[in-house]
Amino acid sequence: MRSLRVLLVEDDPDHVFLVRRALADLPGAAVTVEVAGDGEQALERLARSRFEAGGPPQLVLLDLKMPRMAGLELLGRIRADEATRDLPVVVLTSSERQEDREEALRQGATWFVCKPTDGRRFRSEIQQLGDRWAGSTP
Amino acid sequence: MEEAASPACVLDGHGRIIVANRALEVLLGVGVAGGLTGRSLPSLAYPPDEELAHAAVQQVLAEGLDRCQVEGRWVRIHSRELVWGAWDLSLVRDRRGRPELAIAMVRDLTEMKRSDHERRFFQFMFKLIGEADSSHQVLTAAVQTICHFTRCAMGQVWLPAGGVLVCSPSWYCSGYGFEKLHAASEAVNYELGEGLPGLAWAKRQPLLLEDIRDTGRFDRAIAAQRAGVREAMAVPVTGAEGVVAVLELFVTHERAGEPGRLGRIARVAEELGPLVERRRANEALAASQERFAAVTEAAVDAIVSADSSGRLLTWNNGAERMFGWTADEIVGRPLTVIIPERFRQLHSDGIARVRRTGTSKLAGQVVELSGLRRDGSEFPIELSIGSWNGPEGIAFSGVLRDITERKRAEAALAGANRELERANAELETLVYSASHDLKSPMVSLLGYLEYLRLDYGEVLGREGNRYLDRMADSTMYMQQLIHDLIDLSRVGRSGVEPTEVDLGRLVRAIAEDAGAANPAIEFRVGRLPVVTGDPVGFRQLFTNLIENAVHHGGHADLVVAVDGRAVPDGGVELSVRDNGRGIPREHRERVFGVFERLEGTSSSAGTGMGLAICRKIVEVLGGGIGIEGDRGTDVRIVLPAAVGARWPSHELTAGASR
Repeated sequence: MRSLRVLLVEDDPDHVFLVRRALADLPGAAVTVEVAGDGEQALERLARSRFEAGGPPQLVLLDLKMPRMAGLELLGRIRADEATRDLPVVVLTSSERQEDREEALRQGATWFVCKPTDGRRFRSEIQQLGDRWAGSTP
Repeated sequence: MEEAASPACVLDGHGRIIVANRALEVLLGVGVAGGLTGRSLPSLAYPPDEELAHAAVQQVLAEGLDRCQVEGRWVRIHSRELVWGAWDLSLVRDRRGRPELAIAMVRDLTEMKRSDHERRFFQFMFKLIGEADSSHQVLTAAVQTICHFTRCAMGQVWLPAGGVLVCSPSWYCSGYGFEKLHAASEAVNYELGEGLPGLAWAKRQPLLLEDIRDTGRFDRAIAAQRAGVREAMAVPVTGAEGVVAVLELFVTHERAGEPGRLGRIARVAEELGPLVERRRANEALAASQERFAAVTEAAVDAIVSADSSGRLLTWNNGAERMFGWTADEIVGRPLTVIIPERFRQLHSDGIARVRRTGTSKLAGQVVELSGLRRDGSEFPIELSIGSWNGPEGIAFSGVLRDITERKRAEAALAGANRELERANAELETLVYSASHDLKSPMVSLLGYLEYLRLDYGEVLGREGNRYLDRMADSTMYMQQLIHDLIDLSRVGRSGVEPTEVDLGRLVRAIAEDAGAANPAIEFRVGRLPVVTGDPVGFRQLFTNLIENAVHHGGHADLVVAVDGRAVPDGGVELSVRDNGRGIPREHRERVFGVFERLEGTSSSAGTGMGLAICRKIVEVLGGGIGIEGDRGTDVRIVLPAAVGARWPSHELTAGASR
């Protein structure tokens, strides 16, 4: 049984539910999802996680459009910090703008996923992400 | 006496010539020697002077006056020319002292009298001409003088106008009964060479018609005869520019046949030509000055002129209104009066430069400057400057327009433009936010639908599941609408650098994809150019058009052809054509609207935005798009020369992509 700890940075509770549910249904893996409602909370979580037993999360799922701190700024801060520099950060956003994708990748996003409208596809894309990173760590 | 150089004769007691010397015979034009013998001296006189001659002879021969002198005119026997003579009669008495004979010595005064007469003629005429107000009056005055001095009864002026001679309404006559003749003249026009005046006009020579009863040569004979006219003359008045007028003069029976008359009139006419021309030039100048003044005064613009030192020469009403100075107050003062302090140095430098170089940099240009009103306020002006070389060196004219209103309008427009740009930017942000914010709830909606289906699908049953499907479809459709709205708003806005787009390659790729999804449809891609533009736009354009053809063709074995051709102005015409069911003529414009789909085509997929996007893409490129074709749909796109089309040397024809 693989395990995966995910930090989901997302302010929309419905999307939080959908991501949680998709990852919870991921076959053959025990996924823990922690949620940060904005960038500041996310940084706080990451800082605290260094002193916790499991260490930092194996994957950060990051929405671009959030209150207080924009996703890209948070991404910059994560990449600027020695401790989180190599953390896989997947940008997960509603935006379909090519510019946003390019900018996110330039800022150091590991991957960029545009949230599919179709519920079935949304579920499978999230599960693919979980599957991929769950496999990478024991 | 025979040998005497002076003309002389001997008269008998009755005043008849006994003997005349050769000199007298020559003077009076007698061909044969002794031709004067027996004629009485008074009978040789010109009729009006006959009485005078008779009285002189009487005084000597009848009253016994020893000596008598008389001046008078005499008529040469054959030529009927007039001769002026001063006759000196001396009485010869018989032995008883009674008057017996008289000896008459004649001094020929003709030359003297003639030149005196001509001098007075010219003097009189020039005086009248000097008093004339117009070139027209000059000619009338000349006709009047000519009539007076050459004993013509009537004279009138013909003027060339529009290729014909027209009789001027002003004329002169020395008696009554010529009105009908003048009216008859006014009623006709003569072409070159036509009628007596027209003939003189054509020949540029004075002409004399000795007897106007010769109807073949004179067409107004009846009117002329009633007025008692015998002779008619037409004398052209010629200036440097050609014939300026033709004078027509009429002589009555009793004055007819006076020799030398035509020649005298012709000499006068020679003097007249240059005078009339000069007067006309002055008139034209005056008229043009008058017109200029009228235009200038009526103008709303300020029209001013200045000399080479920058002193104002003229100042129109517009300038008075604009600057608050009257012409009286400002003419003669330097131009700097109307120039704001801070520009005066520039102006002085400019004037100095013009005086040095003789040319003006600003002449012929329009510049925007500030003007200074009398009350010290400034206002924006537009100035156009002309320069010319006047008698005192270079001079300037300026037309100044108050552009306060225009400046205000420009500022307002610039403000409106900024506002528009801001609004556009705002709209763009709005559209992108909308794409995100509208999408988020749909993600939620469809996400929950998925879980509803997964978790409660069995509970809901078949009907419940169908509802779920309908909800999902509708939400997806809404998603598509939002997509297309964003696409439409993006066209022409993205700051994409125009690049070279190989339309042939692009269309073949799109056709290949479409062909893979619709194997029954045949795609034909013809010769298409390489153009310059937004590659994304072109991709969207052809994708939409090909998709439309595929979706709305109406049958499976469709043929879709894309073709291009160069048009004469350097542009391109492209065509995407299918043999499907086509679009009724009445809907061909409507389909380019936003959200327009043809009703009754339930199979129609899409949001109805495709063609609206296409039209916008084409219009952003400066082109046009429309639908042609009687069978199937033929979408024609015309792009301007600005797309810089380059055509491949080889042609790709049918079946290039399938």
